[in-house]
Amino acid sequence: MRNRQARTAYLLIAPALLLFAVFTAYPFLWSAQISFTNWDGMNSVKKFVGFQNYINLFSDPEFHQSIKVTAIYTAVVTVISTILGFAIALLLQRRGKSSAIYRTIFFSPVVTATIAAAVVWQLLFDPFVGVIDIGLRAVHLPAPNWLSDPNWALAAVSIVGIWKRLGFAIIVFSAGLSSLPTACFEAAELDGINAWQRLRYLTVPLMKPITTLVLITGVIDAVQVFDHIFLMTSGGPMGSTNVLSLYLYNQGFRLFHLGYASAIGWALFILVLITTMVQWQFRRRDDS
Amino acid sequence: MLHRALLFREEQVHLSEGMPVMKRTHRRLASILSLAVLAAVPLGTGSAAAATKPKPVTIEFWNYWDGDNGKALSGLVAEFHKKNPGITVKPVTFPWGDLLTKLQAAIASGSTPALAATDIAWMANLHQSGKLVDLGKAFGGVKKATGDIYPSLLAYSLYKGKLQSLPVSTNNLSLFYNKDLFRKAGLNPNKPPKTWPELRSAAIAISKLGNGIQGMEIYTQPGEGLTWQFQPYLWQSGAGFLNKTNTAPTFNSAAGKTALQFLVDLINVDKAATAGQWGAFDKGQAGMRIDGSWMVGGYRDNAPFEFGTTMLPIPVGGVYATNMGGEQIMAFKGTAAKQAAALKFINWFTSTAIQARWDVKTNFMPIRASVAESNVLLKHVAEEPALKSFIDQQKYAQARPAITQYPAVSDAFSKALEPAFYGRISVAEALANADAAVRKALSGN
Repeated sequence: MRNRQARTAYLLIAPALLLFAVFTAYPFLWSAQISFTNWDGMNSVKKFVGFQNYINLFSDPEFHQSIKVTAIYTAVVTVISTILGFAIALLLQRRGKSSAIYRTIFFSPVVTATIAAAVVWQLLFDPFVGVIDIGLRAVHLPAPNWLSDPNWALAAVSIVGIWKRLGFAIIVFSAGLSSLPTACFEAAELDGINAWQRLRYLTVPLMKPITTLVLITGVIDAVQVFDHIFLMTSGGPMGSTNVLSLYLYNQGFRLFHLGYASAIGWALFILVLITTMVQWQFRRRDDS
Repeated sequence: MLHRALLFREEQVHLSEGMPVMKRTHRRLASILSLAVLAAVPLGTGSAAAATKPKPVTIEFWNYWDGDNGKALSGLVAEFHKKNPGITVKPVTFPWGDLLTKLQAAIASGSTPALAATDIAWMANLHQSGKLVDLGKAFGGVKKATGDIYPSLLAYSLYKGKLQSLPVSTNNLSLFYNKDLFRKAGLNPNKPPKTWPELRSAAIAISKLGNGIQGMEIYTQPGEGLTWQFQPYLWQSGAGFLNKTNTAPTFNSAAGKTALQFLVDLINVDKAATAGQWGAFDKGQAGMRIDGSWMVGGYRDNAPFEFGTTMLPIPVGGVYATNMGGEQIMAFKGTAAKQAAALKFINWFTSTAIQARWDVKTNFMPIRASVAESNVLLKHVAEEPALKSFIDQQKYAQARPAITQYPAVSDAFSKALEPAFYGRISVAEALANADAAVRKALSGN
């Protein structure tokens, strides 16, 4: 009986397992193998080079630069989208029924094709015809040449990243807020708690598991950012938006350093793994 | 022409065999048959082919020709189908940036198309995949296979003495200029700049129009775009790019510094250009830009301004030079029937008559002298004056190094130059950095 159940279970997960094996596990292991070669993606020979690709990572200034850019992008996008998302979710909670409309509006960027959105943002950031700079000039603020200026390009692509991420944070926080135990709040009400204390001592601590979830998925999402930056700046100007996945792509598919690109991919994987583990560790400590 | 007619029959005979022969026996059979066919040539038109019905075969032709070029290709392919019932060529178009990646994946997984046409800059890498058909062998020797194709184009076709691809188009860079902005800036729209000083003063005059209008749009984003646009400046001022054996850079010289300084000054001293994004000229926001002949059709139909082209301006005492671009066609190894069909298409597509019409439809430059001198093309150029500068210039077009490290070299070079355009480092520093980075890229690290 047990055996039969197990067999049915395996049968049921077989399709998903097969897809996982073909599209995730196999490429994953294959890239590990390639990362020890200097393969260009086409040559019939894959020359084994040992750990050379990984050693080269340590002395590659572009790799270091792209780690820095990725770290800044991830921190900025995750932190701002989480705080803003939390704040907006709180405000929406008070609006009652009409909040559904706002949630839909805020969520629409999440389901918008990133490439289409990036094209529109590119126009918005245009220094001459873009609405953003026209607006800034109208109120006599400096209007930067966003995507062409090495000092501003990362800010520009981060804004798009936040815009894209915000909706997800709002939805998750809204769901979390509506499922908080009302008893605590009622008890606190009787004790004469004010709005600030309520937020500081009740809502925020109670929301901690949700916040951790939003932060972790946010970091994983941001570390792997590719499409809108690829389209808006291709990593430029002067490498100021050259995030890791873009650097990986350029090494692998523009310069034919597939072995090196695979090594970058593994470095990226290890980075995500470490940050996630650290975040979980924090959470566990809080829980106990 | 004789060898071509001959090949035609040879392949048709192959097809009619319709059996899965091994490659080597297949070749031996081919040589025997070609002897037989050679004897049959004077007898008249393809009796051998007419007698037997070839088994229908469908082959894919990967390329990145979209828009008008894609339409031109489909039109020609339809003609090919009419002449060759039994063969279906399916053009598959990818974006330029994706094609090589797709081919990479196809080569790695053993699912290559029968035919592909790609940027010449990628040929060095494709050649060493071991999957390309030896066209010299298939078409009765390199000489026979290439005929009057310009030898400079063949730099990208030969790999270790083997002919593994053939040019199907070439092009070069000219100076495009916005006649409306020339008029507004008080310049003569029929007298575009011929020298660097003239280019500079025209750019300054146009940038004085204000509203963010640039005099000259310069490509400053790292990558092959920057490198390929900048190389003509190097060559014009007497500097090189790599040495003859492609083993060391030669751009870090006094002439090289002059070339880079000219552009850097246009941006940082004259304020007649901006470093950063590309595309201002298309919107009528820049007076001049360097670009290729493939833009002529698009600008004629869509540009919101009147444009002209002229040969690239040269420094005082400099020499004419431009960069050579283009595509090459190749056949991938596969079943005998598919390979034969692919070879037949290549043979037909690279022929003078088809190439002349292809060039008329696409505004690409001719690959053979016989195409350049054909009436079809001469008539087209007379009707499209913007093409004249490209044709006049083709003889000054220089080939980029056809080596596997070229993409890495170009990338390293462009990245080292980029900060100079932003005025962050001096021209001397940028070229010294580029020199070191290119040496490293050449060594394969």
